[in-house]
Amino acid sequence: MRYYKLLTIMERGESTPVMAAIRNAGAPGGTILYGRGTASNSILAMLGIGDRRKELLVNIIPESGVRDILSQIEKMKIKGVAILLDCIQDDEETETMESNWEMIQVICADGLSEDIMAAARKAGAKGGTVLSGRGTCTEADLKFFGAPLVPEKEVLMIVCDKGRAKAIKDAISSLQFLQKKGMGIMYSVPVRDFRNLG
Amino acid sequence: MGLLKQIREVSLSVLPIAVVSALLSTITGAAGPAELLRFLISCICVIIGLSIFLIGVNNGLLPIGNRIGSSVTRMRSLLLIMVMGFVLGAIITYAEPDVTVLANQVSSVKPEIDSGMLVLAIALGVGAFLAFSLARTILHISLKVILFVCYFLLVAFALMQEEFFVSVAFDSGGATTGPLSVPFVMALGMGVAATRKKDPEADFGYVAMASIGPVLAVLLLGMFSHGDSTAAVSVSSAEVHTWYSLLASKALNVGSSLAPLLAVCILMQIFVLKLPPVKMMRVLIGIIFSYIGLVVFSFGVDWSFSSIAGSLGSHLAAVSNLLAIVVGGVFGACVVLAEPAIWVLTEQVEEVSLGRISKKMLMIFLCVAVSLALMISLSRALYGLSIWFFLLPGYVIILLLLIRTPKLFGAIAFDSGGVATGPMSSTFLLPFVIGAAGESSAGSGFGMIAMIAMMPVISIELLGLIYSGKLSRKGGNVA
Repeated sequence: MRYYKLLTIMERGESTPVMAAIRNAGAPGGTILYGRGTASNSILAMLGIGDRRKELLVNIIPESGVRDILSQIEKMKIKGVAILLDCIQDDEETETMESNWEMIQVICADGLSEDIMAAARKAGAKGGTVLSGRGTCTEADLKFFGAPLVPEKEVLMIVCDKGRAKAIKDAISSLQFLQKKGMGIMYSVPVRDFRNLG
Repeated sequence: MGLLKQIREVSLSVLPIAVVSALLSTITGAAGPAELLRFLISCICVIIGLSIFLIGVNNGLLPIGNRIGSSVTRMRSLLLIMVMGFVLGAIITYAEPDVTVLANQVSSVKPEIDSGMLVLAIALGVGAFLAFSLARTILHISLKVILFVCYFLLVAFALMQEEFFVSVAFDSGGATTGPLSVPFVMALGMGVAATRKKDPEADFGYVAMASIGPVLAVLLLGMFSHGDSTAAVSVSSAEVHTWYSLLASKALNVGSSLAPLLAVCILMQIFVLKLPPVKMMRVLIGIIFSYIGLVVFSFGVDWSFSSIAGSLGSHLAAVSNLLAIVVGGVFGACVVLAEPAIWVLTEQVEEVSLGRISKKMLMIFLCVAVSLALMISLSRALYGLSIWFFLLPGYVIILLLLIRTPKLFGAIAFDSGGVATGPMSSTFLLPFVIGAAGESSAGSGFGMIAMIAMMPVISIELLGLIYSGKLSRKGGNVA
């Protein structure tokens, strides 16, 4: 059986009813993360009045349930997006699939996501979601009173159509402050299905 | 769009207090149509001001405070961290207009205390305790132990003092935790804490520590100046303002408390942070937003809230004491919802705990706490009971509960005690209690501030105990 990763991004507080609805359609339990949705245009982003607090629901769902689960989510009256990503199966040939969408992810030092998003927006991105996190420490890290200093990170996720992905990635990687080594990493993954909700 | 959502959320929180007071004023005849119109304008100002302020804080003061905290920690010098905490704490407090107002009131009643000296004592108290609390996070000293010792000392000192000095001390604790300094201090601490993820109580507790500092400092100052004045706390008389002079004075007041913060942020940006351009603009615009928002908010609150609350208080108490107490309880519960610093704290708690400790739940517990605090202080004022009947058992309960409270909740509890006494309680609840109590017992104002600072601590500690009880039954582990 094939499995997919379903990522649903919605307003705060909506993931509990969504989870309840898709559980009936065959989704096993999920994980909820807190994030921030960036503004829809650069002026609102600069003024800081376009941001929205978001919730991310992550589910690993079996192939057989995909259609039911997606239609359940679409039936819910929520504003957000649902993104379906492939999971690699060890015992199966991973088929290369044609997809019209791509998800670009940038993991960078805390505080850089606004500027990265601004550059991406100029290159055609519509919007993104930012998560906060921390980097893992290694034994070699500098210690300060017995504990290593934990690096703070931000993860920026942008879904865009395939045609624009290259331009967006180029715009991001040519940013001045990302030229220094260790400032961040960027990668992108194919998106199997993408639905705008609400 | 985020702004509209924020306005909707804030409106829902301000609505209860607006509706209840407008209705009661009409029924009792405490306010005529002109005053009601004025009150309506006030409410709109409060809603718009608070919304803009919160957006500004989220984009400006919180992120920059955070970055300053973590960047300085990354320099790996305990001395530097402590110096930064001390300097920041002291200058923020020194520039806070509320502290100056308080000091002037005190020296007008007790001429032997120099008001400049008092401001300095309060500022040094905040600075020292902020430095101390940042060092605590770095050195992994238990916050619970420190809070326990500090509050024990506080009660012991307070018992030795005359009631007047105790009142000044508690008021100074409330005055230092203004709507601008609370988010900044909180974010600064979180920035330091972000670099040491293992400590569950590291994210909060800085505001709590910063508000113990001045209380202890003033109590110590009181030990060296024994006068025999039995004067009650003077409550700033409601001056008659035209709207533009009120707005101008608010603009100046908020500006003077923001100026040092802005200067620090700009200096840090140039020499240490070096944030990229878009982020920097966002932070700057955020700080401007929080300024505008707070000016509009405090204008709205001062414009008519205190006068309507005062006349409501006296009208209700004239009907029946019990009625005044019950209505006071309702007001207490409603006012928490419109207090700016409470919003910042509860939102941060929800964010840090990833929704496990929801804003709603904290708000409910805080509402109940302030409601009880108000009912107690009203009955105290109306029936003339001693403040120590309530304060002493209250603090004993706080200390006993602290032993069993989960660490994170302990820190949040003491923080909420510090932030519960904001502009809404001093401009709405205080006049209400004084109006109800009448001229005879002007000292009742003190009891109220101390009670509002105390009750939330108990209620959040209880919330923590309920949480840990639930989780231990399920076999989980509460941070």
